[in-house]
Amino acid sequence: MSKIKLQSSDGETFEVEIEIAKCSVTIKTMLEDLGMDEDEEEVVPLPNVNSAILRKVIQWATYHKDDPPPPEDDENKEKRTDDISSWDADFLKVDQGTLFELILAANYLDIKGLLDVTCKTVANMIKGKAPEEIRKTFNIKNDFTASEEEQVRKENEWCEEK
Amino acid sequence: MAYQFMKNIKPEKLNLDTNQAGFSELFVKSKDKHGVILLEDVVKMDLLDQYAENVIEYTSRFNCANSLSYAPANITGKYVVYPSYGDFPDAYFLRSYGKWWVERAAYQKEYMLQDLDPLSAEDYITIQFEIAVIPRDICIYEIYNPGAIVRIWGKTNTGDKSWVVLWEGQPQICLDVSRKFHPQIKIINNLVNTIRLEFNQSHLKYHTSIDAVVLGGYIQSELVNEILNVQLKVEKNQKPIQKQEQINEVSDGKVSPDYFSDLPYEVVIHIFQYLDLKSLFLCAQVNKRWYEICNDPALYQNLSLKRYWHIVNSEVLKTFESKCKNIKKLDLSWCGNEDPTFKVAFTSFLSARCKNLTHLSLGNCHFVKNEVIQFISQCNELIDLRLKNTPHWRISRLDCLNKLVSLDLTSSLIQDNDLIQILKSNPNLKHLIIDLCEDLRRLDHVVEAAAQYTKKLETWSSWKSPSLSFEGAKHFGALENLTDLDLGWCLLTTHPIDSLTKIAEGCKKLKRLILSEWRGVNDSLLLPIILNCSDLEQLDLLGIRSLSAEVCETALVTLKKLRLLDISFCTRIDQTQVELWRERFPHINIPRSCQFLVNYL
Repeated sequence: MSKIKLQSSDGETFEVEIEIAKCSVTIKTMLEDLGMDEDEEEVVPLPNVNSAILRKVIQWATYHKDDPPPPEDDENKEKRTDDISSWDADFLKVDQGTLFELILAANYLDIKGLLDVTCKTVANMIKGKAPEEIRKTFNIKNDFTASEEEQVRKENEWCEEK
Repeated sequence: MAYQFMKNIKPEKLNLDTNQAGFSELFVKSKDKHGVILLEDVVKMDLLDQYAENVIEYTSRFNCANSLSYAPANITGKYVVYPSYGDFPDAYFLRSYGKWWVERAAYQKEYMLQDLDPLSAEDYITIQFEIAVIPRDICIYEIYNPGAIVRIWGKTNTGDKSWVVLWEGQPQICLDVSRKFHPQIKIINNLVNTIRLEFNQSHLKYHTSIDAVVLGGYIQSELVNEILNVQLKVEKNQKPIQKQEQINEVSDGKVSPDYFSDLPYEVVIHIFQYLDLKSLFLCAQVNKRWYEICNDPALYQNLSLKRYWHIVNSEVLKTFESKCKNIKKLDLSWCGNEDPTFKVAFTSFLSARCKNLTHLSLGNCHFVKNEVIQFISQCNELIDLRLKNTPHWRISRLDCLNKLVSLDLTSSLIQDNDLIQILKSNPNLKHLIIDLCEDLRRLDHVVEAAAQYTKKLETWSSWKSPSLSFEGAKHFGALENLTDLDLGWCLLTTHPIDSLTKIAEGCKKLKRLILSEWRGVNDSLLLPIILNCSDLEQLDLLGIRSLSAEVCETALVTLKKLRLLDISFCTRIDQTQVELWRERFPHINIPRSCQFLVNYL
């Protein structure tokens, strides 16, 4: 199995099977565009991903290398969030910083499966929480003025429990 | 207190745990749990148990509107079957059971998988009681395949958001005996005279049936009114206290970063698309950026408000109008029935947002009248239109649409010529559901038109639309793509002659065939179906009395994919034979209606 080298933003290189690296559409396109297929001396620089996150991404991609390709059809995209596999759930038991860095990496590397499962995990952290709880969970500052807040609350109160 | 005890009011108390002592014990516990002041602890009131008086509306019925058998109205009044168990026409019968309906090709797939009802309620019935009471006790007499009730709502007289969930729980697996379902309901101190039962029948082997419903509680009196008023004021004054708590919360020193602010807009959208509407509307209150993202039309391309029927009014629909700039699928089933202004809000929504609309579902929406149909007929892109249980329009105009693939007009007033026009202009139609359409007087002509214009038809369901003759039935043979053919109670006036042979020769792909009450069918007329349609998974032969055990056995042995064989009321077949089949073919569900009479003193 041919391999390629990926270099993280902090200079660490990772040797990965080409097929695994290609689950990233970004890397796949890069290899195709640059014609860097079988030449093992080339190193693919990934300036947006640090070594800790890249290690996690490779771990995820290796585990999922035999998954069927995700359906392209946007219309029937799976919207459930209760279908996260137990391996993924364990894999994503990380601190919030790491989780969000994984999302950014999955987005940058264009790995649909990883982006979906990380976003679902965050969605599950949001579900059913009151605005103040959400702010607390994610350290978000409330930048509404009191009157704006009241206005927005009114606009959105229809589905609140009585 | 001199109340007239009408026929529906049972003079004696329910003989379950409704005696005073048991009651107050129960309430002391729940008081601890809910922190609710119980009116009965404050003031002496009179208990009243009453049976339902009226049916307000329902989603499922087993018979035509004017039939008394199995009718929704049979849920009213005192029980007449209980404690007997089985299939009795004197009780209310729901039509669907098991996964057969969900699995059929024509079934409407949910539009918002991120916002499903966790209890998957499929049907409901809303019933009214003569005297409003402060509810303490609800008892439902289930007499056939019990366990499908998943939610009980009570309608209070508190203006907005007047519906309250009194009980909810997962569907239950029950023994084959009748039962009084008697859940511990939520303690509220509001008067209720209307309740709604929601059902999930997907786990049942066969139809579920309800004989009666009792609502028990305390009767209103002047004194109670006074207390209710005081209580309302107290509740109102309590609200701001919660707010102060929130303001007092200060984060503890260390500042953690807001990772969300680093995420690009489209990634936040990606996260938010997994949220249910309720969560989304709470997110909109977090800060300005979240508010902006939560209003992005990308999140509202598919919208289903069905599970929010109890709070969706015209104001709410207006809120969505601005968010739904690119809406493709809209499900407002069960919504808008208590808001007289909803029709106007809906037509405004539709005229502004119909451009890309491909799916529209308005099941049980009573605001669907002629004017609304006019607006719907202008949604040129519609491929899937569901107007089940909308009996308040007559002028069709739906033939303006020409891209329809699925059309459900169950229990509507659609007429033959209008339907034929729709078929003419929609050559791509694959699924047609016209169950319980009693205004279709010449179904033969409709079948003929379908055979001519809609060659791609896969589903034809005209269950209990009873104007088919053998001549019309023959035309199905020209529809070679048919997989689902539901003709239950359609052929009542003529003998089937050779129509089944035509169907058997023409429709080789049939998976689901319903021939309930085709009384003239005998073994030799049915045999071609068994020999030709080898893909059959469901065969419903209910009420075909002349069928022998031999032909059923042939079906069980020959049809390798068979999973359901309904032989209820096939009176020539011996019950012991049925039991033997059930052992021999354990993978096939062989329902057969039964009646177990119980003598009670």
